[in-house]
Amino acid sequence: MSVSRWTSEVGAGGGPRGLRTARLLSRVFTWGLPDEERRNQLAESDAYWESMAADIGSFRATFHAIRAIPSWLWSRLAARDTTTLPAALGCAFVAVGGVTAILQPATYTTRVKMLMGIASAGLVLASITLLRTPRRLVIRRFRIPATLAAIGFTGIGLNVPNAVTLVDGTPMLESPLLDNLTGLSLLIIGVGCAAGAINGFIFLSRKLAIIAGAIIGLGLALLGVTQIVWGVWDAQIDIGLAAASIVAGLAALSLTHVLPRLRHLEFE
Amino acid sequence: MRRKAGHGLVRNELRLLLTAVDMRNAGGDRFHGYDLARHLARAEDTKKVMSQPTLYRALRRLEERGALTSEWESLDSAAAAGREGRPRRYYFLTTAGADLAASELRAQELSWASGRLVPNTS
Repeated sequence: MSVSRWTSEVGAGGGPRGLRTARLLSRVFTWGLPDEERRNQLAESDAYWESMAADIGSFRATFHAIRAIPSWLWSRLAARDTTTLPAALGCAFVAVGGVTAILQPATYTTRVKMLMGIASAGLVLASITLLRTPRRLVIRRFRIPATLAAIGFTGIGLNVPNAVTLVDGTPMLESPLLDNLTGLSLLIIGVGCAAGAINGFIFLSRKLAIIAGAIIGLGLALLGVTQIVWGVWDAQIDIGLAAASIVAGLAALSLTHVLPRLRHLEFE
Repeated sequence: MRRKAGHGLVRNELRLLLTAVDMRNAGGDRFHGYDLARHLARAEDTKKVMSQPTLYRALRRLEERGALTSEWESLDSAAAAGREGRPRRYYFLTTAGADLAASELRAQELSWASGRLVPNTS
């Protein structure tokens, strides 16, 4: 659906630009709600912003609307009804962690960077796929994202011990245990993604989708803990890489929390 | 905002409910969301109005608790107010809501003074 058609159907409405901005934000953050609930929320939201604009001016109302973005995000993420939005956000954050790691100069080998890129691309596509239908999971649409993620994560998992390239004299945190755990977790995620990809191409089974999700969740939990521990330990050596590891670890753990909720959605 | 074990209302919900009590005591029988938020901000002498998502999340919970009821105004009424096709949702404080406000203050050992929640020193 094009943006212009979307706004005209839902109605960002007329009025001062500030008020339109506030209304547009309301429409963005109520996207994916059931129709009646969304209509009610938009009506209340419009009334709120109109009253605020009449009270303190539309420019300041816009400022309040922008300032309310974290609250809006929290409302959607913490909503008792299950949607794909938290999982989509989790995938996006893990992808950001991966891209951040790729951008670290001369840290990872070219091969690993390519695999990280492939995995991140898969995660971004997964995030977009999740956002397209917030209240149901269309299994076949995850074929490509799951395939890319499977290739990326499995490849990185197999290359973990030799993933880093060092300039002579560069200090390096060496921990065979963390390396092995990281590699194992990535392999588990890769297997789960592969199962999801096969399901998306062949079986289109709800049960297999849930099993794939469970495998991915197990791998993410292990990855999250490992990356956070590694990041905290590595902070004294390479702060950039440490930050990327901790971000990816936290994102992985948050995704572990939201993934099981997806099984309550309608599958297609 | 996390709910403390044993307490029914979190701080924002209690503030809104007490503001609703004040507004009713001042003669207002109904109010819409921004009314409430603005009244609360003025009572607290702050320019910071409760954000729209936070406000409506709290109002939803207060309705679920039976502390408030709500109804949409009619389209005719909205049109008469210059809001053609844009009716407002008005909230009403219930007797249970007023009782809940008092009991929550006792339970959380707080007082409501000039629009602010303060620890109960008595």
